[in-house]
Amino acid sequence: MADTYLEHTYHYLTPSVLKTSSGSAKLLLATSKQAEIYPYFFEGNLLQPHATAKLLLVLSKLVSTRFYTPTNMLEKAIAEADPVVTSGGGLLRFEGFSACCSTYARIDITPEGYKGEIVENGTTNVDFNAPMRATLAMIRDQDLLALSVGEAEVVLKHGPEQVVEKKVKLPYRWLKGFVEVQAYQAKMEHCLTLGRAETIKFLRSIPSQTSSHSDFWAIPAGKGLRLTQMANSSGVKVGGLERLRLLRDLAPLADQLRIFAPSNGESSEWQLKCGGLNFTLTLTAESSRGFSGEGQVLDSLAFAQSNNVSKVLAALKWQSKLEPERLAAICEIENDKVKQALSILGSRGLVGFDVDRGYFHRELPFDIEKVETVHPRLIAARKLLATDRVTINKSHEDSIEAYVSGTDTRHFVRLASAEEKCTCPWQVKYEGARGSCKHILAVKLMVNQLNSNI
Amino acid sequence: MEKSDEKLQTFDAILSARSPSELQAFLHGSTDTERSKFATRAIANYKAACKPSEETTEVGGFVFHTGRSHVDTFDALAVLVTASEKQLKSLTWGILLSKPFDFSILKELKPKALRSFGDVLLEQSDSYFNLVLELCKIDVCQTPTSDAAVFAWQNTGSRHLIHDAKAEDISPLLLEPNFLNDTIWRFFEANSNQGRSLASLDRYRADGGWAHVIKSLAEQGHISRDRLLRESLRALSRDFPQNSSSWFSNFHELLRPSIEERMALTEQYANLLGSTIPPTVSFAVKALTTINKSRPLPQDLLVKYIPLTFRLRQKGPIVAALALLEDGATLDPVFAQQCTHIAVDALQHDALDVQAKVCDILERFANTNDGELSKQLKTYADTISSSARRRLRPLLGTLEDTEFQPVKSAASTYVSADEQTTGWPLSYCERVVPIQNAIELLSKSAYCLEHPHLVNEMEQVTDAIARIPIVYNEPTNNLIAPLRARALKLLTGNRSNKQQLQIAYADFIQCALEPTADLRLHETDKLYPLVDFVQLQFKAILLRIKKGIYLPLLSTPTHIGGWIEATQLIERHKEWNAAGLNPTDIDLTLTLLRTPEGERAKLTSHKDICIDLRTAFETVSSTAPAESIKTAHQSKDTSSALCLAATYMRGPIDTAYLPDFGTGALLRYAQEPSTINLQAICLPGLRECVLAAGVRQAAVTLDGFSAYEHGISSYFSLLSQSGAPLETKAYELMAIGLIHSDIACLVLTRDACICAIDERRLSVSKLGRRLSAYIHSGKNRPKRLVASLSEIARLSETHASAVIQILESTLQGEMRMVPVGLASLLEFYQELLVEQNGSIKNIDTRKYLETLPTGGKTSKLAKALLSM
Repeated sequence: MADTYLEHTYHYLTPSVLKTSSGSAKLLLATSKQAEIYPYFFEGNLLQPHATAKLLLVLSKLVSTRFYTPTNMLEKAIAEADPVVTSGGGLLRFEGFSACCSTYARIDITPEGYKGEIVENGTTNVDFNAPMRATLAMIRDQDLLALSVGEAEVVLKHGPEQVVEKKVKLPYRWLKGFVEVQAYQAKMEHCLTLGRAETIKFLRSIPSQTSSHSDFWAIPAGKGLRLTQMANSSGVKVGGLERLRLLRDLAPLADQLRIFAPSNGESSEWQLKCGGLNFTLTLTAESSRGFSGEGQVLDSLAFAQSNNVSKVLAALKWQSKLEPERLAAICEIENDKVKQALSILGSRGLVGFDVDRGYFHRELPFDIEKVETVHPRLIAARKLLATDRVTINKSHEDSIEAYVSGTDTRHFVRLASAEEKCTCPWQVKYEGARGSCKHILAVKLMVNQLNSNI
Repeated sequence: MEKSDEKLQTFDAILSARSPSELQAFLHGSTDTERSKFATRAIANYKAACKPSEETTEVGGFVFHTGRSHVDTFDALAVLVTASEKQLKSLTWGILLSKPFDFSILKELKPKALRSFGDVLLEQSDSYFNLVLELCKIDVCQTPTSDAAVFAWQNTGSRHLIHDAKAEDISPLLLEPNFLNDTIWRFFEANSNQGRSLASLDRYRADGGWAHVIKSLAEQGHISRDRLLRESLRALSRDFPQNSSSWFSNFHELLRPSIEERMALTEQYANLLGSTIPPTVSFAVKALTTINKSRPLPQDLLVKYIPLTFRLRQKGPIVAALALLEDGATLDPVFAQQCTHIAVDALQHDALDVQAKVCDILERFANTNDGELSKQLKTYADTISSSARRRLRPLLGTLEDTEFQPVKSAASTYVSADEQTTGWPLSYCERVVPIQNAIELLSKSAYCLEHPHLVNEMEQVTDAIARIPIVYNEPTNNLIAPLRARALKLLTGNRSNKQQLQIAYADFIQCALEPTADLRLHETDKLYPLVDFVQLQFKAILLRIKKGIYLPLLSTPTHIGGWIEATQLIERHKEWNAAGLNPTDIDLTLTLLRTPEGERAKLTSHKDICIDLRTAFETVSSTAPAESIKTAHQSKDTSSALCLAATYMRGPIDTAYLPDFGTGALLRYAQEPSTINLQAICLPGLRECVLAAGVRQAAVTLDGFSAYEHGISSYFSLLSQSGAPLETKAYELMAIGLIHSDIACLVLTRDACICAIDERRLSVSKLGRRLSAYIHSGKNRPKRLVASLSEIARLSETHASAVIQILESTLQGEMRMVPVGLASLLEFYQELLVEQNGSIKNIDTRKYLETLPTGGKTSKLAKALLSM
């Protein structure tokens, strides 16, 4: 049976710790070794200690939460995965992903949220341990909270007995979900904004005991929002409502809540602005759907042009905001090719997406190459092609009809400029909302192959 | 020691002989490194010994595995003295508990790997507690420090607590230095473990448990009382879950700190005001209030910590904290100004009590010329309650601030129009576009198989199968094969996670696509009489199309929701008449159920309508005696579905009895959304019956027991149909929906109310009476009701007016007992009246409020309402 996990080890020189004394505290976040170095990203003070501590606690809670447990699940939930920190372009970002792969969260500490020095740029994991979390809960706004992400002098100070090594098994599905989030975020549009009081009111109106399997729409009602079950184009579709409870305790800290969604309503993003901090929560359409099964990047992966991708990759320098036009000029390729390349780099964990700033450079500290090769639908499509199961029946200027032999039947595929149809249950059920089925991908691969051979 | 191979052989021999003395002699004087070479063998031996044998016993034809393991403590000993820490962690040690254990070899060798063995054992189970104590005593293990060790102490150690903890004797175990110097302080650091905590351990102990023992230890001078006071507060600051943090606050109070002790801990108490655990904040506020009575709290402390409470959801601690602020303001006029600025931020909370307290502070201390304060207030102007806005208005009367408008004048009053909306249903329901050709039929069939809840679409497919012959050519063949394969897979695969209706449709479709196939489900499993009922239709269609007869179904809805328009019905009948065929009983029955009352009149005497259907229409609308019905249906068996349906619809309909047209009660066991949706479109003319079934299901699931699994929300979606008449059962369902715990049901009901108010269909008195029945019963859920009505009221003045009238209808009638939570309803009612600048006009409501017993918050609110 093929591996479905990536064995990954976090190497920390010491555990993260929050050192407190009367009225002040220092949060020392240990960074995981990257290429034989323990990165040192930041030294300074946090200007909103309580809010930052609270946001970090919620992020930590998310990474160990499973909002959906499949009925046939036999394995334990994935071991707690440490959050990822990125320092770049003056921002400190902490990212986390739920164990069920349906929820992504990110904290952005902007220059307005700290006073200090960005020492280096880069991405790595940070150690979040139980004692540190327990002491984070005690931080109040009146405390001074200094922050170190990594340490300046690591060689001499610490003995081997303090080294923290955590071996985790990261499911490929989890990793794929982490990288695919940006494909959703890139399609999001701003829908609604709420002030603080209405944010508190709305988030507190979500019942504590909710475990909802229905879809809701959050629609404007007066100055605030209300939930409805009647589809509404002026609202934002939300499934798995219980996930929004993560924001409930953060609501009093927020100045506003901004909500984003793509036009097809297949995901949503909820962003709390808390002064110099942003807390972003990105949700799939339902708790039972992880980002990894959504297939948003399949087409890009299938038809990647490696030259363009390499050029764009070479132009990445830890920018917190990647401008496609500028990259196009630097790389001497078209704008849309840059966007395609960024999408592919996203699927490799090399860029993230911020709805306010666009793509940003960050390199997830996992061996993503293996993950890329384990995209079941793409692999299945390539296999269909390799075993001669794809037959082009008719080919016109603006449409193609083909047959793809499945396990127990032959599927009919029709590709036209405005539609992509297949008779398989997946495509019939989701109608492309979760990416193309393997049959459509196989036909596209074949067409691409034939065009290349011409 | 002997050479390596020989040593291994010797070791093997010792393992086989199982002789501890030989083992001890063999390993005497060896180092950890030397012994580690034997670890693999020792572990393999141990694992083999732990494995049960293959013995089996046969009893009564059944084979039982009776094999046991033959592991001995010697086998474990061999591992303990040779294995590494990592190897020890990977094994289990149950044998160490079941037999006496000789420690001498461990005492002699003291393997380094065993230093942390205590933590390893306790992480596996508390049962090793005594063993670990022994190992620590002989200095084989160091004192365990992990959280697991702490919990083991708490759990197992509590058995050593004497039953009468108030006596002076304390178990010697608890007087050990390790425990007193280290372990006991870890009690205040370790979070709860899988529901086990000091709180859960002590809860049911009559002797007070750990709390009393630790207190006794302090009283007898074994541990520091000061440190206990500090550590208990420190534990609270860690924000442990509520059920475990309560132990620390209770323990702190059990120590009865003196006022001087409390004063020394003022800062620590204040720090707890920022806790996310509400009882912790309440505890802290109470402590500070006690201190404040003896000595005013420092102003900088109030400034620093009071605002932390505003983030809480609970109102009690916030009000108490504001009271402390108010006390501080009373003492110093200059500080009072600062207090007003601090208090304003509490307006972010939506609780009326909190806002009222802020108003108290501002009315007493605010400087009307304070521009900064006005700006601050402005940010809350839109979100505070009406009563707060009214109180604060005079404070800001000098400001010409357009955002801070005067309270609104009397709103546009809600008046319901005729509840029976004219034009229902055909003017309100979307017209169905029939499937036109075979390709569309096949595509839609595939779609419906994946979306079985789309019953309207399924009806279109059923009709199209009956009406459109499929010509087998390339375009259709492309779609038929995969569709048939999918249908067969659904039919033959695992059905546990599929809906019954989906399986029935899959059966029908695979049969329709394959001319020689028969229905595999001759009957469903009898739990779904409605599906059996619909299958009669499938069978009839299949019989016809196999003979090459394609005719439209009479009963196919022309409008979403299951309704049939008269003109379409006539056209269909003409086709049947031209074919010289009679429609089936099931088709006629569904037609009868789906024809709106207004359309029946056009059909009763139409010549193209078959006699059976005309008679059925006549029966439904007839006022003739029941005996004449049999005579009227001479051409039909009176036990036929059509006759039964006509008789039932004639009425009077008792919704307690479920319609049964030959296959069983049609509204039984509908626990799947698709089946419930099917009920609705099969019985649109019996809407009240369907809603009655919904009321029964909703009542059972009121407080959240598997509402989703029962598909209950599908009933509630019927309420929100635009234009739909609202009768008795609709109001019952609406009332229960407004207080239901399932968020889908709740939201759907609110949507329905809003829609009904928008269309002026809602009878406020009928809904109010239903709600009144609930609030005066055991199903009273006042908070949920207030939340629902509040959501509806805030949409517009009209909605607010409607909600006021609903409340007035609710607060009427004879009151045997004051309903629990009535205060929250009255508070909400008051807010609405203030917002609307209104008063109670309903005499019955006034009478109701006047009968409330005096005393208490409820009575005060009633008086305030009556005086408005």
